[in-house]
Amino acid sequence: MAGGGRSTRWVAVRIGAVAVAAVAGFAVVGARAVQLQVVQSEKLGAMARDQYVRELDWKPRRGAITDRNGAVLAQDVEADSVFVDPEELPERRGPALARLAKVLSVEGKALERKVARGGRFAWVKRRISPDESAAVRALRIPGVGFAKESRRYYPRRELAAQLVGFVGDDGDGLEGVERLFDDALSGEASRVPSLRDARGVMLLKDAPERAIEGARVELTIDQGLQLAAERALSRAVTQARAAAGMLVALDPSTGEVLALANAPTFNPNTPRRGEVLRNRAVLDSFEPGSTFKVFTLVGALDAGVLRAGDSFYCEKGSWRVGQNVLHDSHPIGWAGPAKIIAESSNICAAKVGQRLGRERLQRTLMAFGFGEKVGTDLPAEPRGAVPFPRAEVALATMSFGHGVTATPLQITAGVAAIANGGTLLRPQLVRRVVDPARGPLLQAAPVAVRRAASPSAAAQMARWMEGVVTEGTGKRARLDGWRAAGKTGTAQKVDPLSGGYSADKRFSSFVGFAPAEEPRIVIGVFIDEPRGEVMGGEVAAPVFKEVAEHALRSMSVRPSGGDPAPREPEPVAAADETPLPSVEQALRTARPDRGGVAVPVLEGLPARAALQVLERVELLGETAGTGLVSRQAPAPGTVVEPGTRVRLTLQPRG
Amino acid sequence: MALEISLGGAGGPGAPRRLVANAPWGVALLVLGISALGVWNLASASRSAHAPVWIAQLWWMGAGSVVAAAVVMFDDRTFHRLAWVFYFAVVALLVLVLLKGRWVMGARRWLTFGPVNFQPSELAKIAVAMALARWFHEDAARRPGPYGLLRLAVPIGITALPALLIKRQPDLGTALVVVAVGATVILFAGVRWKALAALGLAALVGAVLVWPHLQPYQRKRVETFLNPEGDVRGAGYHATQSIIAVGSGQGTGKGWGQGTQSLLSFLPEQHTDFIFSVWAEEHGFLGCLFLLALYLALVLAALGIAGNARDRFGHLLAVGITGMLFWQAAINVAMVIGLLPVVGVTLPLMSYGGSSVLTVFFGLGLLANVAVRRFVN
Repeated sequence: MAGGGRSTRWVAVRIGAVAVAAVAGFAVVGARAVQLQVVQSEKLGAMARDQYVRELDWKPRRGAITDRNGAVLAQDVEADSVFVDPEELPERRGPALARLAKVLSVEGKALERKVARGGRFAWVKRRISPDESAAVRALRIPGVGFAKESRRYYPRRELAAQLVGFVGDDGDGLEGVERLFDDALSGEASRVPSLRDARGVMLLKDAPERAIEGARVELTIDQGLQLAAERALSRAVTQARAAAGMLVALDPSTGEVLALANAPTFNPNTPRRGEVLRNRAVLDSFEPGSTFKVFTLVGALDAGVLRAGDSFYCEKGSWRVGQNVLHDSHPIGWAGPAKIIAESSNICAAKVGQRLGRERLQRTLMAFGFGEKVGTDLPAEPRGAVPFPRAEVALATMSFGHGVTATPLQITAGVAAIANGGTLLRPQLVRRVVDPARGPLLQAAPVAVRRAASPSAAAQMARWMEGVVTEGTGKRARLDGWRAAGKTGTAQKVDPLSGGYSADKRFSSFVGFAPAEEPRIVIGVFIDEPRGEVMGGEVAAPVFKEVAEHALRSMSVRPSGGDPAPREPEPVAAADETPLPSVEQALRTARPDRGGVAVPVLEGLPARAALQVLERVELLGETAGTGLVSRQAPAPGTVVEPGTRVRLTLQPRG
Repeated sequence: MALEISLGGAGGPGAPRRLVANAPWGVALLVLGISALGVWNLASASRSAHAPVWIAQLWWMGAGSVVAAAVVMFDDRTFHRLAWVFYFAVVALLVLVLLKGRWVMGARRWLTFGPVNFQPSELAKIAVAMALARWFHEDAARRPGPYGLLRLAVPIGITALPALLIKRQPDLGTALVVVAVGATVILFAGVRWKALAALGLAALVGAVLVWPHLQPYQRKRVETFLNPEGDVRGAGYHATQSIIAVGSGQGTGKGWGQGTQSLLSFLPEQHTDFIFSVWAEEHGFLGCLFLLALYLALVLAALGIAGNARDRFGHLLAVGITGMLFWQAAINVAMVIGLLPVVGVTLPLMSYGGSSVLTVFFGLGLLANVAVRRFVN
């Protein structure tokens, strides 16, 4: 059968036929490829995208709130949220749920109802503490799961709690700066295209890294001074058995608020409610009392109706004005303006007010910012009332601070205008707002509202106010090493029931600045309803002294003549009252390096201590897991910018 | 392909030099090219999987090359002699599969020998080609000329026996390929027009009669094929996802490793039956044309070998092997792009799988064997 002519042709024909068939077959396939990949390609490509592309709303991590030096006051940390899958719970779910409810202190009945509602998912409790998380894990109940969620953490607890504010369960700012800068802190939620696989699992194509964080809000307060202020204030309020206390510390040259304290206060990490949440130093207005004599007399100086050499008769403590009789707490006879301020004579202040007149008194007070909003933008900030003093007695009482209302922040800012030579500066709570992606959103600069007094009148008043401390009602405000100036105030409070002045309720205050010759800090201390000793010079002035000395020491202000005051180490508001020795060790490993910070060695530290160390060297911490630090990135010794985030991987002890 | 190692082989007289001179280098080059693309493509397809199957595939291809080289070195008369033995051995294995095979996904297709799993149905394609070549070779020596129906009874039986055994596993795809290979050899051997017409009619009637006896899943596939969008999430899922993959590749494809359909596990069986959709998605229309052109070239080169074989056994064996390559490629691609219902047929040299790779290389070895000895008498 080999190689015959007919056979060869026979083979060739068939081979040719098969080849043609093969080509035809491939041609059909090729035509189909054209149809799918050229003609219908758009439609099919869209179908593919439709089934794998899903847009995710990516909510950025909420930005941190720090003090003026970058110490963290509020930041997001990861927390466990507990849920149950009812289908995986044990057969007899009652006892299991009861134990779970007990550990998490939630209501057992409510939990049972949630579980009974059906479906395969129910939250039990969200953003629980690490302790709770460990306790739930120890129960080992099948069907109980954990999800990582962001939780707002306030590492310094009560520090500046009313100013910082807090967030609600869904992470929205409810109070304070958290509310005021909610948008900036939240950042812009971005829609991130992500991939979805055939089982519906979402896969992030490009996980957003650093940019996906809200803005960082840097407050003007200094955490060290804030802590000192809160401690001193809280002590004074306790000793005076007062209803509340407020303290405002300002930089008179910039208007920056260096401390803003309220007592009593609260820990924003735990559930909270009630009056303690209120930032009364900014939001509540009071009848200020004698501290207002300062403004009356400055107005009179500038109006030319008062000279340093003038003399007034203070009526020995009792003076009838129309239907009413004015009293002084300690009766005096003839007095010049220096003595009127030092001894705080209501009667003589009223006489100065009469010289000034109704319009000019009102105009003076308004020039110092009373009756208008300070402009912190905090919600419900009051204006305070500076009514026109129509009646004779109204003019008289307004001259010494009654019949008008003002907030502690307004009063302190007014005195700051005297301290800096007559310019009213807008008090500022926030220095900077920096968005990691968009850069600075806000960069505060001093804002001069207006000239409230002439430099000479302000300087004159500052000298008279120094007399208050050296020989007048505010001797207890005298500082060790620096000259101080100030004014006491002890106002009767209006009784809301009778409408008249209360017999025993007082609003006692001391507002002053130091050093008197070149003021670096203005401090207003306000004690609401002290009991027993009520005079502002007794209950408020000592707080001024303690806080002012702390501030001047930590700012290394040269003492007014004499030896420099000894510098004490700055107290640190620590989450743990007793710092671990290893915290100090870790701190030593963070040496400042050409403007940057060397990342400290954190391995082996508990999470809280590690975060504490990071805060003190102006770095941000980010934890994953629970227990002790087992790994950190960047590595120890890496020199980074202040404010850089350090990732800590935690592992349970042992 | 490792044909060059047959240099030292002990073939017929003057073997070494002739082996080199007559070796089908074109075929070898094409096979090497397609295999390389296949491994590259598998590397992309196995991104989402747990095991990098492309490494395993490399090993299988190495083993296949050794098999092919060994086959080339045998005298072709060996296969002529062993055709029946081989055929009945495979039939015996197919019976064994039905009795003792491993159940996987509702079918018995695998035999297990110690650590080795393999599918005898793959070998059946070659066994049928070999047996038919032998039968027609000897039959033609007795009576020349085209075949009528009666004389076709034996070759049809040779084809049908393993096909039916495979169909019982059940593995419709491979059974179809076996039938297609057998039909190709038979047609090539020469069939009377009348007989051809009668066979066509019988096939039609058979299809109508068989329809009620098909497995429900098989019927479903055909129904789905006729209307794939009727049930996109259910039975039409495979076909629809494959078409989406191919179509979304568009003109030039998404690029290697960028195929979302495969990465995100939308594609079923993406290493094996649907490997072509991975290729089509990532390399687009141009890539498809290129790969199809390589297959066409391979088929035509193989046909050339068939045309130049020195005897009828060689002709028909080569035609059978060519038919096997062509039908598998054509059926697989047609299935992937929605021209045919979904049947389990692998794409030679592209799909992952040991049995499939070894069988293809065994066939290529036989093809080369025919080619090397085409001028020997």
